[in-house]
Amino acid sequence: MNFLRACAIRLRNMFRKQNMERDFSEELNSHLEMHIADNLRAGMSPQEARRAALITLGGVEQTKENYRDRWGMPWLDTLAQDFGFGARILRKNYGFTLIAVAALALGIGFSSVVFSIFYNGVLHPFPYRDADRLTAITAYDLKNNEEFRSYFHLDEVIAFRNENHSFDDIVGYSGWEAIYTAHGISESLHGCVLTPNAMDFWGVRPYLGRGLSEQDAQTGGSAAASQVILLSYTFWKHAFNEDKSILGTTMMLNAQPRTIIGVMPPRFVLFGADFYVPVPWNRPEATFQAMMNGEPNYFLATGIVKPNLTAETVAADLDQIAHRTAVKYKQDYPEKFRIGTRLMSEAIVGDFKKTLLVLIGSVALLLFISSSNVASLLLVHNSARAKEIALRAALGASRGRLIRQLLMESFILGTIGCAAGSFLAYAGLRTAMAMRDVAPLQIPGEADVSLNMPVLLFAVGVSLLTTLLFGLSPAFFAVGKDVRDNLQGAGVNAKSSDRGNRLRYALVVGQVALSLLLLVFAGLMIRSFVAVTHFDYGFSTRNILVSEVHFPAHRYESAEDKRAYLEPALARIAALPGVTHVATAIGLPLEGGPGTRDVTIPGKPHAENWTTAIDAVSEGYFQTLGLQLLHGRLLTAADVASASRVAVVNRTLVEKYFDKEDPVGHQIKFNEFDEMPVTPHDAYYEIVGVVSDFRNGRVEHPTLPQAFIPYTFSGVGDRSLLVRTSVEPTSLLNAIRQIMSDVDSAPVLAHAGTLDAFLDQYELVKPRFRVISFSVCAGIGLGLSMIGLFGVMAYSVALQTHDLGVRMALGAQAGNILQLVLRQGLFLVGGGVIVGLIAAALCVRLLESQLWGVSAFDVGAFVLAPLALLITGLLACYLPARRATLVDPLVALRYE
Amino acid sequence: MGDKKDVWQGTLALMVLKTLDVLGPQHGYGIARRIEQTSGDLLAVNYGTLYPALLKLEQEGFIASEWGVSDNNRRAKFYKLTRAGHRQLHREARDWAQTTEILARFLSGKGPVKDGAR
Repeated sequence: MNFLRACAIRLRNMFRKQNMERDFSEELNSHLEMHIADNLRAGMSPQEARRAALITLGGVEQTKENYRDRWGMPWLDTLAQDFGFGARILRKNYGFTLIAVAALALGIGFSSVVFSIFYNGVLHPFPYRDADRLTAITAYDLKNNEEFRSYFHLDEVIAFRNENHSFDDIVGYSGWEAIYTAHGISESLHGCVLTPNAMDFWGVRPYLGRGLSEQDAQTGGSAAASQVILLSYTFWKHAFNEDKSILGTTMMLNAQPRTIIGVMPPRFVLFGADFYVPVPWNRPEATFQAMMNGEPNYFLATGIVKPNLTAETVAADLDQIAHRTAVKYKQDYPEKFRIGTRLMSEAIVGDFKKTLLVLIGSVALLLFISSSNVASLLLVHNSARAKEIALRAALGASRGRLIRQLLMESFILGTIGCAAGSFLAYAGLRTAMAMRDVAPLQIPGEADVSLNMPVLLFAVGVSLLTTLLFGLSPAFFAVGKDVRDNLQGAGVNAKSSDRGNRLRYALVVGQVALSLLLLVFAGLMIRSFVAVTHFDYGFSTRNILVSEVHFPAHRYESAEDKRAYLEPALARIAALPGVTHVATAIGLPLEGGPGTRDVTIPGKPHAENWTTAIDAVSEGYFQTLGLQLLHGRLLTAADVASASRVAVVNRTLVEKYFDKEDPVGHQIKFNEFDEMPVTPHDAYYEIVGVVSDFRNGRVEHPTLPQAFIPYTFSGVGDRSLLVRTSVEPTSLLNAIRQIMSDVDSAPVLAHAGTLDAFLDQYELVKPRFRVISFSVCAGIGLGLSMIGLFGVMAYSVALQTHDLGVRMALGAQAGNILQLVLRQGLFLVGGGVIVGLIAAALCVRLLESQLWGVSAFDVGAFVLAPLALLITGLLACYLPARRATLVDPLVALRYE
Repeated sequence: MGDKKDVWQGTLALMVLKTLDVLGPQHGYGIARRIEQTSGDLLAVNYGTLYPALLKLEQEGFIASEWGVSDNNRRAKFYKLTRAGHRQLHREARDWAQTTEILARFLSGKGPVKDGAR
């Protein structure tokens, strides 16, 4: 108490110093006067009386000093002094301060912003509540330990949900194909059926309107009979053009009206569904008729597992429940099975962690560059002050006090830098969010992007620590040394290769190396991105509309039925203005068509499997895709009309199975046809032509051998539609739908869209994201390390002023000087480039999984990045070098 | 060195408090003289060290000060005990008595240990 009281008083006293001085002087005066008076009375002479009194007091100034120490808070006083001093130094060297603060701020700001945006807006895959605890439930067959089923009966899901001890909640959901009809045109939609707890479970608020409730589930008693529908954002955009007024209106699904109650946000893509409908918990097992209408009988079960449970505990818990329900559904389970669980964050986006690591890596590199930048700036700044510090030490400043002052100075610098960095992070994020719809950011609309605090704190921490640490450098390099040494030489003599010099150069080399690393990575990402976007499919993918054509059950089962429908439809679509070619096929390009089994070619015996992809196409297919006829002829309308046994093959098939022989005229049999009931058995097709290759498998796989036969070969399966247009393909979609529906409204189009959008499923946004994150980091990193290089070179030139002056006095030309300084800069940059190249070569393996279509040791990236660095490095050295040529020998020599 | 000073300051504070208790309100010089006289020649002290001690006691609330006029008509700053100061004096005096007693007993060699005595 008394101590606190004393502290409070002393703190207050700090601001009443003048009063104290006056008051205490008076008190001492009266003390002395009384003492002198007493001494006089004791018989001393006036001088002696005064002297004795002063001696007994112990000196007026000493007493005052002691009193002062007790009066206020002396350490606070010196702290304030140090603060003022530090602030003055920083203000005086405003150039240095500005650059250092900028480097700190850029490092902190950009690393936080880049991380926050990409983590929350792009990378984080789940908009769901408790996404990290979402767990899928699966049954494994113990015989081969393979996944056996992940779909369960509804009452099994209920049993899981009610009897478990390890989940917060469990939800059931399943797919549902349904036909949507609007304006007389039908379309097949992919929907999702959800148990009533789904909205709470996923924890995602609808973008518009409301979510599905328990009551919604009860009305009707089944998914098919429920009367409401919740739309996905994509479907709402595609079918209703983002019209908000559709809320509360009805739409026809399976010839039954449903009320639209809401729209989910863009990132809610559960099950990739177009819409969501509820199913009540107590729904009875679906009848066959109901199942034909799409009512699902099996549901995926996903739960939110309680925190801190091991996968084994959870699995064991569910295992006993499943073994109980398995008694009822014997036919659905293998003889022996176990229940396993899988975290969805791992299952669905397996490389999420890798991508996150790449992001953290790039941001960390950036932060390191900015920190080492500040470090080298501080070293430069402080070595120039070696003389000043030595002088202060010589005048009696204690080592501790000097260190305190240096600490205070870098603390001020660090604090300003960190504050500016935090502000930049905040403002940068605000700006980025304001432009969130602008390409190439395209941050999902509902993504809640806030500053990632751990990353910001980390950045601030690292920056502050670096600043404090390197701010102390003169304490190690100057204070400890012989004062005379410093007074004489250091700070002037460039040749003094003390530890400070070496450290400074090492930091610049390190920065350049780190920037090169980032540049190489960014280069690889860009090359990879270009490879993906400019992937040569073997045909132009632009302006092609694709759609599946779904046929109703029990109709269109013969080849003739399909022809009777497709032929007029294709003809009428071809006549549409804006359509250049139209064709039908079974698969879509890249899907390879249905068959990839063995073929028989008479006269060509072979031991291994000769596989080929087969597609059944109309005669316009080759023109629609733009494939080139290399040899022979294409399929004709007559071939298609009469279902001739003729085939066109691709170049790969010829190269693989015919060597150099002419394939035209040869027979080929697709053995797979023999195994299916509805395809021609023992059918030999005559090869009539060869076309150019195009990618018919996954992008990362080589082209497969491929054969094309007339689509009228059989009535099997659904078909697809491909339309090459001269206008924006989707603008023709409604007209095409109208035509198809005019010919017959029973078959419906499904998943209609551009081929590019379809191919994008393979490409995804990830490469783009990596390119942006690395490019941004590399760009800023490059800028920062150039600032660092510039600072060090400028300083080094300043140090050499005397040296350069002598050279010029002895006749060196401006060109020589320029060369000299540039050579020094080049030496640093070159060192950095070499170190960086080695580091890149070592690290690039880590990146390999993120690359596509480009080797990790891509020559372009490994040549261009160092080149870019060397050029910018020379530019950063040029200014200081220019200044060096302007040294006036007279002034330089007088400097001594 | 710091230790010695602390001990000294601790006892000095006690002496100041006791002096003020006995003499009533008194100025710094008076307190210093009184301490010197009481201790005889045993305690030669710089009067100056008294003032920080007085300041500390005042900051802790044990004494209060005000300007007044001395016996021979001089302006001087007078210190007097506060109520907290009285309490503190009793507490410190008791502690001090205890300490000295323990030390005295310890130094005289006749501890309470019976079998240890030869």
